[in-house]
Amino acid sequence: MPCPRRLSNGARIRASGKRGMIWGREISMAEKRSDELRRYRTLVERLTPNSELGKGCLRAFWVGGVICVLGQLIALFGDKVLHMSAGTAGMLSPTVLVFLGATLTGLGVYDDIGRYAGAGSIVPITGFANSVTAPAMEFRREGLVLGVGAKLFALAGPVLAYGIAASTLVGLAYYVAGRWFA
Amino acid sequence: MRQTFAFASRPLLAAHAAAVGPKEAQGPLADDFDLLLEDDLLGLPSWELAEAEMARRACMRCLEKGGHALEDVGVLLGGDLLNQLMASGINARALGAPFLGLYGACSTMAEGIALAAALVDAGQRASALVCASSHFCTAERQFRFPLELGTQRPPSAQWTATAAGAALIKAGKHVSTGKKSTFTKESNCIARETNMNTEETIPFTSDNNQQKRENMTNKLQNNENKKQNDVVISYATIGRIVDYEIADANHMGAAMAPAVADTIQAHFDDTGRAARDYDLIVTGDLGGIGREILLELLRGRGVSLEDERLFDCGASLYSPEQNCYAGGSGCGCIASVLTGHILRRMEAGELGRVLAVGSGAMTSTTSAQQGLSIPSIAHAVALEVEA
Repeated sequence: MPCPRRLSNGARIRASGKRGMIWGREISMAEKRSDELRRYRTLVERLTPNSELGKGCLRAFWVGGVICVLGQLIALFGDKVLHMSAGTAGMLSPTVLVFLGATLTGLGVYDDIGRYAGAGSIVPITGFANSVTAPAMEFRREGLVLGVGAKLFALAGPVLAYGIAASTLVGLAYYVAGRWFA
Repeated sequence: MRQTFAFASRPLLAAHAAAVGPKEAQGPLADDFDLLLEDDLLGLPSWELAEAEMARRACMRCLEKGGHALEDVGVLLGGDLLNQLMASGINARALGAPFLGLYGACSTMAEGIALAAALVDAGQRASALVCASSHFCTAERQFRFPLELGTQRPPSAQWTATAAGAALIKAGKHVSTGKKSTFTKESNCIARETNMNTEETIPFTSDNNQQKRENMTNKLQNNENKKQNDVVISYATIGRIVDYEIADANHMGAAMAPAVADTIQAHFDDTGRAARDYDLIVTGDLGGIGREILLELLRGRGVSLEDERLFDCGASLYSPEQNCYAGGSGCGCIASVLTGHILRRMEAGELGRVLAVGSGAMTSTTSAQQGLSIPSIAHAVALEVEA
């Protein structure tokens, strides 16, 4: 059967044997490039070692757990030993933990903890203290106002912004649901 | 010759010096560096000033070794990683030489040597001083996170080297006049400008470093006596920006390997040379992983390059015990290893011909935040021993 001049998908057939062309259809430069990029990405993934996920999770688990247990012990201390009211005891815990996080950052120890524990030390409130103290230390050379003052919440800012926004929405939903089902 | 400069007059790489910080001074190549700085702040108010001072000391030591007066330097080409080349500008102010600021990220040293050789070969200047520096702390605070933040890095991350390298390029077929250095210790010093009381020496603080200082002075003298071979620059291949759409700032090796492959291939095409014509192909900071990627990329393009012939400065700067992930990076990485380790080996006759390929990731904090990929560039300089 003679070769049709045009295939059913509308592509033309060229007779030349130029590289980059398959039977009946010319591979465009863009396709060739995306092919090359895809092959390169595969190559990079093959040669790049993965972080040790299992070990990392375990480390995050136990360090994060210890911090949380410490927080609970502080609350218990406030309740049983200092005989604080329930609300005050509840605030004692984050206060002490933030203090510890900031102090350990100032002593240059918290970054070593973080390298080991990852999310286990970032996620608890001690990590928040670290994210505020670290830029304060770093940018004091640029002055108190534009250095420390401006950069204080460079890393913690999104946490505050989206945390407060999310809790506002949840509170609103809680209120509406309360009225709806009351 | 699409991308390559050929230097008919074969400019001479007359002198070189490398200054490194404390971590690099504990690495495997420590013996080859001229200045081992114990304090990465150098008693100055900020990291940026410390980086500029480190670069200045490398430049002064280079001129001292070459017996060349600061006043006679034809042009200074310098660059670093900082916004608006802060450290290089301060260094150039202290040195006072006509200054051309360069930005090539980590390829700055190769770019500088290429341009210096071109200026000298064209007869515009009799001598050119090239300097590139980087500092771990200045890079972290500009590109990444405050130093005390408790974050983790993936295995492909690299460690910005606290290092500076300087090289003096003179006109080829240079006849030594035996002129003694007229450089005095009264040259501008950043410490003097900020009224700080620092000497023009390395701030060693403890007694057991006295031995190190003596060893280093002795080593410096030995270096000058042992130097047998002259190193000349024969070619320089200027790279193009290559972008394989790697957007991960923690994997610079993967971002830069295609640019290195592109430049190496262009160099071979332009000069008619192959990998076997070089004793060593020295890359800047591809790191351990990027190095493997490069070898496979070149293999795929039909460029044969043996594993033993490829030396990556970043992968060799630190020992595994120093926990520097995939290796060193930064302008100072290839600058210090080239001017310290590689040139020493060339002058001692261990290496005859070397292709030094510096690669740079042309990324910025803005482009990273916008989620853009990392375009990269690599420049190659062919260094040859002239007996």
